[in-house]
Amino acid sequence: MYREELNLPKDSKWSSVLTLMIGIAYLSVGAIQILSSLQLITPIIGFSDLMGGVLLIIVASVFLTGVKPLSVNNQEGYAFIAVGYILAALLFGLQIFVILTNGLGWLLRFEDWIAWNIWNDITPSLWMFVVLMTATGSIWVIGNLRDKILGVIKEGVPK
Amino acid sequence: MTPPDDSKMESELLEPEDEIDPQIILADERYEVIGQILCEVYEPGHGKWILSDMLDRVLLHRYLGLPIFLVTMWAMFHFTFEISLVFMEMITQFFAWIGTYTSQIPIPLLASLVTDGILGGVGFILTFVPPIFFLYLAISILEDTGYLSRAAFVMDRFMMKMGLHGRSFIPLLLGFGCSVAAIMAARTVDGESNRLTTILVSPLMSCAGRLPIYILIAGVFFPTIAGTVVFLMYMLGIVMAIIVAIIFKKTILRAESSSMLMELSQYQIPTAHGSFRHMWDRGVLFIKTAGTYLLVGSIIMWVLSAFGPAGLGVPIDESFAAILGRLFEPIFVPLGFSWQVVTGLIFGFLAKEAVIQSLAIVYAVGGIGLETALIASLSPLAAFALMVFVLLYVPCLATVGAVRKETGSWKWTGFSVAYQLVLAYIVALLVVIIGGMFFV
Repeated sequence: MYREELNLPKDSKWSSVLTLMIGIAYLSVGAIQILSSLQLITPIIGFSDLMGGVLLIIVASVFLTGVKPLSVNNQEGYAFIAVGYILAALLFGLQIFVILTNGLGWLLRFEDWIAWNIWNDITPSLWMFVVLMTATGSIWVIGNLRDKILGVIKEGVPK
Repeated sequence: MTPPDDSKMESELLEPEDEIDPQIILADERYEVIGQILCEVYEPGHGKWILSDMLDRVLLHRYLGLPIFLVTMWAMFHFTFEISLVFMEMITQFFAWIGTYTSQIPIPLLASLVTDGILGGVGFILTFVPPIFFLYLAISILEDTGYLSRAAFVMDRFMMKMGLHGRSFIPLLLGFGCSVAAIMAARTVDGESNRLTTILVSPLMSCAGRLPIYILIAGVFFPTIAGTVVFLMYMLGIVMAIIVAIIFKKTILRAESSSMLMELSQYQIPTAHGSFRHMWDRGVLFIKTAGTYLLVGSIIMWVLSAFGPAGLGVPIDESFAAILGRLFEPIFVPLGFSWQVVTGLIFGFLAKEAVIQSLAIVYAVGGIGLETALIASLSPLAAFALMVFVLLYVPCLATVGAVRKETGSWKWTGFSVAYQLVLAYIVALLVVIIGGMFFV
């Protein structure tokens, strides 16, 4: 697939702001997860995995590295967004599989799964991706609406 | 403008540390020719920047490449461990159900052979089919996407800095599946010294045969972080392979270094048919091993456990298995391994899967459940040391045969076995000593 077919926006200033926000969000949640797993702050349900926190920080660093090229309209910065999304989706998909198989064990009433609680499997890697996709979807819809409205204003109201 | 001082330049060029590798000059020349041809036939433009290049910009990034590789590896082992647990339980329950019938066979000797020997041994090892199949599925997906060859490229930068050959990482990656395949793949490595180094360190990469041991021990002793512990074992394998390779290159195998020239294919979306086919082709070998060598091994192990100098049905402590284990037990006392574990490790020379198979049979004949027995006989630190020992000592007899075939030398084969045993013992001992300072 060639660059033209990717339909990347020519002005990437807003994308850099969005990427910065996503990066900071992942970084903050990752840091909280590490602190919580090390019990340096009050332990939070679903935040018990130290490695999970480290992984979120790596995802954050991918997003944050893309901020600089995007802020100067260098379209190669979109590559960082793409890989950030892929990594976030990988961790999300993995957690979905974990929930499904644990749910299967619970349904079959296996001994090790009797005390299983879905809330323990709702980890930050899961809900952060949901937040990420919701935010991205909303921005895309708003962007489209904005373009349509601006287009109507530029062309003038039809008689 | 001052003209360059030729004599100074010449002396600088002759500095040994500044010597330019002929391979690099060759690669430069090759790319210069490619560049000249491209200038004539290709018009550069932004439109030629494709999605695959875009992903490579990040996945092969100088600083992000390695962390992304680690995330991918962690995801692979987390997937392998967490997803397979419920399927393993299904197989366990299935064999337990069959065991309720076989234990009622009227001939006690036959009942014990089938229940404790065959079901306790081969049946137990078959419970590890799901994680092994999931591991192969994950490796197949990574291979089919084209990422695995990039992983070699990412690691090349670090390996070259340490004086190693970048291409060596490809056989090492194959070692995640099977050590024999990794040793055979070392044929692709340039230079005799590099090839020999790759052959010698390939067995340190954690093959699929070791996975059941990690899953069992991590699940029993570190249940909340089991996936991460398994991941750590695989990473330790890579780190040890690099450290040992550096030592070899700086001591007994000093020789040429060469640059890696590698064509990277474009990324592909893997097909379900292709990935599952690769998984099946590789995974079925494990089932064949379980149905042949491990079946014979489990019968031999049962005989050694059920018989002793006093005859049939002796207490497990007086069996031939106990005598064999106790013979070598004093060596392993500093590591905290019981004679049962030592017996398992001896059988592990045949195939790594035989370690836990032997443990399962010894404890089953002794009338104790494996998990209960392990908790009673090993401390968490000794259990971790056991995983490290299993990671680093000789993978299996087939690997020893492959080393002999590929090196064509009994001397190097003997050296390979000896250094791995010594390394496994020293590192496991360090785990016990250093871990003892922090966790006991």
